[in-house]
Amino acid sequence: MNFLLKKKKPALLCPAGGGTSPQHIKINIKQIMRISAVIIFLTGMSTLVLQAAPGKAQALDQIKVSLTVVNEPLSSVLKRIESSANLHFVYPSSKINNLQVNLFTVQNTSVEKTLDLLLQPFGLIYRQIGDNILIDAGKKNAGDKVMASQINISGKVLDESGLPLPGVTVRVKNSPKSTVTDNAGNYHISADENDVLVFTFIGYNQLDQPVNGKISINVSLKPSLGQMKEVVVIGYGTQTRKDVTTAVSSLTASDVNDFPSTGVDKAMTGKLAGVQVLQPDGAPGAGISIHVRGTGTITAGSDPLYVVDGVPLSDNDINGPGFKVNPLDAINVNDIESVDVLKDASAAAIYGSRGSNGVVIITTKRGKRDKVDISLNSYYGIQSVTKEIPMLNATQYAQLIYDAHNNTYFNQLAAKGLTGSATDDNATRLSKLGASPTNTSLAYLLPPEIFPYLEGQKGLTNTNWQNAIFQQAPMQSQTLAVSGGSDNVQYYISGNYLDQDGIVINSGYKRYAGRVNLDAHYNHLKLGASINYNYGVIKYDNTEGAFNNGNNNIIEGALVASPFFPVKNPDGTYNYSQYAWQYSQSNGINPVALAMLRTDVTNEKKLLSNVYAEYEIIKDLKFKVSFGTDISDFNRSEFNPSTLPNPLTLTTPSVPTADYITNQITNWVTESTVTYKKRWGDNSLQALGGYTLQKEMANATNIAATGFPNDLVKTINGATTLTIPTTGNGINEWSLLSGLARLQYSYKDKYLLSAAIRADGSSRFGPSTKYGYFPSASAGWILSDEDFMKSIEFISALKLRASYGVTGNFQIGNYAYLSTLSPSNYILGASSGNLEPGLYQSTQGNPNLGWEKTSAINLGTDISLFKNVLNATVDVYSNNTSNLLLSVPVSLSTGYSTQLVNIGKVNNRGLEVTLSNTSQLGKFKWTNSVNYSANRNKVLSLGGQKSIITEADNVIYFITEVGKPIGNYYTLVQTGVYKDAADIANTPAKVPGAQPGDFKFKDVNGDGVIDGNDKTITGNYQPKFTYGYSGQLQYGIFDLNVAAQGVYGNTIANIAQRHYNSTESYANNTTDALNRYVSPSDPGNGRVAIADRSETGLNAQISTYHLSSGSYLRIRDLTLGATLPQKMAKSIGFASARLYVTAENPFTFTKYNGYNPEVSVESNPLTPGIDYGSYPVSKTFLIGANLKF
Amino acid sequence: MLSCKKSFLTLLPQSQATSAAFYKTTADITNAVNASYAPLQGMYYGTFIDMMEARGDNVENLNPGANAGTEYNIDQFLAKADNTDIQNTWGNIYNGISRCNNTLIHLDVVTSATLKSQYEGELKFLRALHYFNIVRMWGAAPLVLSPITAADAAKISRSSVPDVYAAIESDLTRAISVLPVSYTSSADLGRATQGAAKALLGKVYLTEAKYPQAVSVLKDLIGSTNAYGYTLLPNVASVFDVNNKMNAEIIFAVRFNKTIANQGHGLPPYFNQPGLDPKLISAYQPGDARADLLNTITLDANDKPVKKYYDTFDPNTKTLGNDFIVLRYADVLLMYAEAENEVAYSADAFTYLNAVRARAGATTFSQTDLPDQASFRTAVLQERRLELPLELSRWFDLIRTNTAIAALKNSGLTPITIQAYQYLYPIPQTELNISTNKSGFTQNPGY
Repeated sequence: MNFLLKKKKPALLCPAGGGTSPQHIKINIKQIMRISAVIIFLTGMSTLVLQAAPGKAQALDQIKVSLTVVNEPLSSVLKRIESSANLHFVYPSSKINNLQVNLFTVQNTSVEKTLDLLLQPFGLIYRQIGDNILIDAGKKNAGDKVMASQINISGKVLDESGLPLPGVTVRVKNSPKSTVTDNAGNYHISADENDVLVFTFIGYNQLDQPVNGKISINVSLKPSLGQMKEVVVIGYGTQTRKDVTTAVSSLTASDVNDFPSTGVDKAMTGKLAGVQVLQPDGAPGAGISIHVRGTGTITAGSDPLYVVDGVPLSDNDINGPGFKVNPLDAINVNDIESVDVLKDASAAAIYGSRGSNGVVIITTKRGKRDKVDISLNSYYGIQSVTKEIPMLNATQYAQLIYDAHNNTYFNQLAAKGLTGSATDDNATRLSKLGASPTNTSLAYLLPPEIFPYLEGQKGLTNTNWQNAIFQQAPMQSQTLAVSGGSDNVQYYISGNYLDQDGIVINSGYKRYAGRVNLDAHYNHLKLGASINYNYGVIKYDNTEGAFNNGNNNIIEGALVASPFFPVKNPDGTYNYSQYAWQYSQSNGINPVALAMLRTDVTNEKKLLSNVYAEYEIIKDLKFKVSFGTDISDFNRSEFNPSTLPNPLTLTTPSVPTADYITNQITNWVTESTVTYKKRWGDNSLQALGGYTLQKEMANATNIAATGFPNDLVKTINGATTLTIPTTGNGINEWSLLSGLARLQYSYKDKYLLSAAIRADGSSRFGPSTKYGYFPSASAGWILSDEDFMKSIEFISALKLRASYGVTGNFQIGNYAYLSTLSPSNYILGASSGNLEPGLYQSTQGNPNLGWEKTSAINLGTDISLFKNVLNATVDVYSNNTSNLLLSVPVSLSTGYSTQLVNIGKVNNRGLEVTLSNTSQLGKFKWTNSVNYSANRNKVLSLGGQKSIITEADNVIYFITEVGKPIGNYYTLVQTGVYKDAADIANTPAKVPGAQPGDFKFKDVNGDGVIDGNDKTITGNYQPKFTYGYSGQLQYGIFDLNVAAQGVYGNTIANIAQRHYNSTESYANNTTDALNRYVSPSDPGNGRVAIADRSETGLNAQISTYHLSSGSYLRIRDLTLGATLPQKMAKSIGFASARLYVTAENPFTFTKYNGYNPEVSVESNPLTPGIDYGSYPVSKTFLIGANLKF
Repeated sequence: MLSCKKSFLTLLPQSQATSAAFYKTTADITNAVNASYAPLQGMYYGTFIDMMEARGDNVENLNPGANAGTEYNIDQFLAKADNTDIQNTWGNIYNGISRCNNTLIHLDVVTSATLKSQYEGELKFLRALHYFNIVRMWGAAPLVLSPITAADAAKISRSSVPDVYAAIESDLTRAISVLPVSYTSSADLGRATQGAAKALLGKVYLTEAKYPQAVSVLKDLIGSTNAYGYTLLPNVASVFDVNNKMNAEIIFAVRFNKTIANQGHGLPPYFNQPGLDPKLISAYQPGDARADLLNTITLDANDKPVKKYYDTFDPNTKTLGNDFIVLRYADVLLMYAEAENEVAYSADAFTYLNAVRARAGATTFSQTDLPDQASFRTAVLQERRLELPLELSRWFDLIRTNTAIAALKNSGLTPITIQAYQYLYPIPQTELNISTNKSGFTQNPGY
């Protein structure tokens, strides 16, 4: 930091154009203040304020002086120079006044040279600011503060379009000092006058700006190529985007924070190529499912590994509240700094055995030096159902029942050679068909409820059950965060309150979350912690599975419920007429009563924490040790009160029942790593080595209780009988011990190489197969840095990447390699007998059970065109998963049906493209990002089997066949309906017993008969491609954000339709039934079957009739924001303020006939894409504010 | 360090026992034997009703759409090798067999010689019952008499029908020699007894048309001087009374207790407002107490069981608790009468046929009514239909006497024309797919 006068290049100096008297200086003070130009502190001097008139100061090497001095005070010599050169000297008089110049002569010498010669003997130095020349004592020792070394610099950072850029880190090179620009892009920092300021901002090129003594430095940053300078978290470290050689997709804080959403998973939707984020269940608090590059597994789990602040989260699917909780739900979106998804095996291999399904790394915000930030993010909104399914009204439904029961009557008469009339009353029907005169359960009887409707009476009940169960539901979220710090300690503290009512009545989610992130350094030691505590309360409505058979799905229950019955009786009690309905009609429990009267509350507590210590042993050699936990604890209490009927009573009061489920999951991980960085010449090397231990213990209790005397006590202690189900209880553990190493090398910063290996040992595998080794390597070439590329002007940057890696999958049961016993009790003894305990070997273990491995190759390029206007990232990959953990059917004569073995192979290959551009037209700034990904999944081997046929929900079949994708629907193919008897006669392959109006099917196996053997592959839930768009339009203070996600070419099995879209009439139907077959002269639309309460064909078998296109385009978010001008914000007390309105899920374009095309109630990879009436996704209108104080 | 690693990664289940630590003590074997009975519960109140009762002419399935037609197809002889009920039945029985096999090889740990023989007898009785059901439904079948690996099972052949029967006879003969006539402790009521083994062996011989052997083994169980104490209850309805379990007429029953979780059963479709053959109903004489057992009782709007299987739902478990009677004395008497008639058209045969009729309140037969062996044969078959409907006897009686084709054609229900190959079920397709023994493990003809 020596003030080397001679090396100092002359700045643009011109005469001040005015006087230089002290008076003049004083006058100028006001001017200076007004234009906020310069404030200079001269250490050791009284504070002086000087004018710098940019562009006018004289060049000292241009002004020549001649001077002869003999025994004169220095101050007087300076005055002579002042007068001859029209300059002004400023100095601490105490240091100058007693100095005497003995002998000094220059002749026509530049002022620069003159001053050098004059001042050096006194140990004085000088520098020029405008026409003023500051003189002070020179620096003697390294630690000494020297004249003018510290100046306060301020300025503004603009983006490439001239708009202020808030949040830019401004750092003094080689110093701990840094600051961040405010919302107007302004910054203040103190620095040495010949320091270099470094401006960094994610997505922009770093700018190194020498201070050169300037006190006002305005800069404008240029966007980086495909965000090449962005810091990417790669697992056990970070890398700049430029150096990344693997396939990693990233989101930054602004990507996730500009859209209000209840979870990071939702904020990710549609924004990352190759990452499919699905929201299969709209229930408040329910998780999403994330698929990275298709499904590579069949039996093991297909969820990615989630790593939050370095802690790999538990893979325990907590099904506590009745649905799968996504582990990310505990993270407050506003706390997130970045989300990075490691997509290819090379990137994920550092997570070894858990990387096969990709790795999602979440990094939360940390405090920054010198800057206290207090922010409040707040929103309020109203949610409503995105869609209602059009159902028959009461009159239409009455007509359907009338037709259906009559057609049954006619068929049964015909079978006995009898005839009858639609007008026959029930007594006549019973007597004609020889049944007991008191029977009220037969399908050919007419329910008396329908007659008033058929007669067209006025004022009858016509309940819209969907309206009855859906509501406009409010939600709000408040996050208050404080961050800041000193040089030694930085902190980020936040608190969040989320309160979301569900769009289905009596469901909702409340969450209270707090986070503290701390970092402290002292010398070479750095300590830190991230602690996130979360308390959530979920009020759950059962919305999955069928409406009947004890499932009591409220959604399907509302769809099938008859509009004849009211929600409540006149006395205010719930109406259960439907449940006790006779005449072969369905018996669902009033869905409103189910939602309102059942208690089903889950309390969950989650502690995510990580504490670390890092020590820099020698320069750039760091040792880090960390300890993290993922502790979750939930309890769920269910109570069915006596006011809800049960299958025995059909009416109330019933015997109340309750369930109490708890689970405590303690997952800890400790990691020790050593990292070393070295740069020499053109070489750069980074090395990482370490080992980790992780262990999880889950302790679950599940108690069913019944025999409550009444509804007064709802907890299980009020019960008379407690039973413990054989499943869902007990302790489950796993452990993982790993060693890892990685080497990253680059030459000339354009040839990049990386290699890593991880060895994992897992308790889940057999003694001889516990350890797995997961190597990877990748390379990158920044082609655009080559000389021969520099002439190609339209290419601003071009990088080629290639990688190969091996990852594993250990998401199988904890003890699958062992033969285990199960209880199987029996009754022996006199009279009713007693329970005698029994145990048998229930699984056939496999001591050789080992890792499922995916080896993957990825080729990619990042390219930036036309001076960074257009950026593109393209990846192609091929993943081969082998040693599939497959539950293979074994000969049943062993006594077992399946055995878990390592067998089989699956290939996923695909293409991912992300295009982004930024354009500006006047005050309009427009950024766009589009992503496209296509994945093809193919089973290469099933260990000798040709196919696996799987049944789900007892009604639908799937086939996974070699050479085809995993999990194809395997159903009959409906080709229409039989028009008349002649049509049946003329159709070669018939459905046995089919009548006109029944479904016609394709004779797939050509055996001349239509039966279960005519099932064939009829579609798959995996899309042909997915795409996403996010865009931002800025105009002045306004910003408009759009995010959309689309899926094309998949099929959904909407099997709930077998109830609400079957013309059997026992349940209400969609308006499709209006197009049903009635007679040869009124054949309907040729697709919908005849109404018949006892169907005669195979209409109810799941066929292509129940499959629906799953393609959709959903506008996920539409946000209009306004950032208040800073003045206005300041005037009302904020540092900055942004207000916005958001529409979440405002539009969905789809032909899908259920509620939500993202649905899949099954988590089994073999049986995806089933809709059995899940919780609809809501559309939400929000207003919110992001405020900073 | 290495040992530290080993223990860190060696986690044995704490809430689930592993088989490596099992089969070590007498108590373990007691548990294993108990667990060998348990699969019977799912069979007899499960798919057996489709496979053994609905297949015959007593009841009819009226719901082709339910469960993708699985049950309907069995009832209507449309079932193919992919029928999941057929596959599940096969799998459940072999699971039962494997429980017996896994336990039989460890009996040496039982310290008491008496208990050891008793357990051997019980397990062999159960294994014989399983193979008897298998051979009657599928004919030739893999004969697995000790634990088998998946690799070996893939190579196994179907043993011939005589070989399977030989194994059944061998197991039952052994069971008869080691099982007690009755258990000293009433807590053991429900375990297989010597009488149960004899009654079953009698049924096996009858099915094999080994009439003299059937007469010989069944004779021990009947008459006033036998040691077993079996008798016809005066009132046939009380045999099925849920409050009169394990009564003197019952020889072997699958036990249930509805007040205990998972130990009750549901009301199977065919026992709930069954579509019974009108010809069966009309065949009862006026005053025949057995006719009323087929009338229904209303439990609730959906559940109207026949009186034979009447019980009320337990309010807590929502299940019923009837035992399922596998072997009872009236069956033994009719089997004896049938076998005796085949050996010699004798007065003895009339005695026991008439005993069953008289107890029900039906008129007895004289030699005038049934003048010859053939007419007696017809009468005893009809009597079995009247005595044992919904007791899983009818279908096997029809195929055993080779009368199934005619009976289904003449049914008062929807008449069905079947062919002789349909006396056997198809081998589940999944088993054929897995088998690598393409010559020794083939599908039944016709499928």
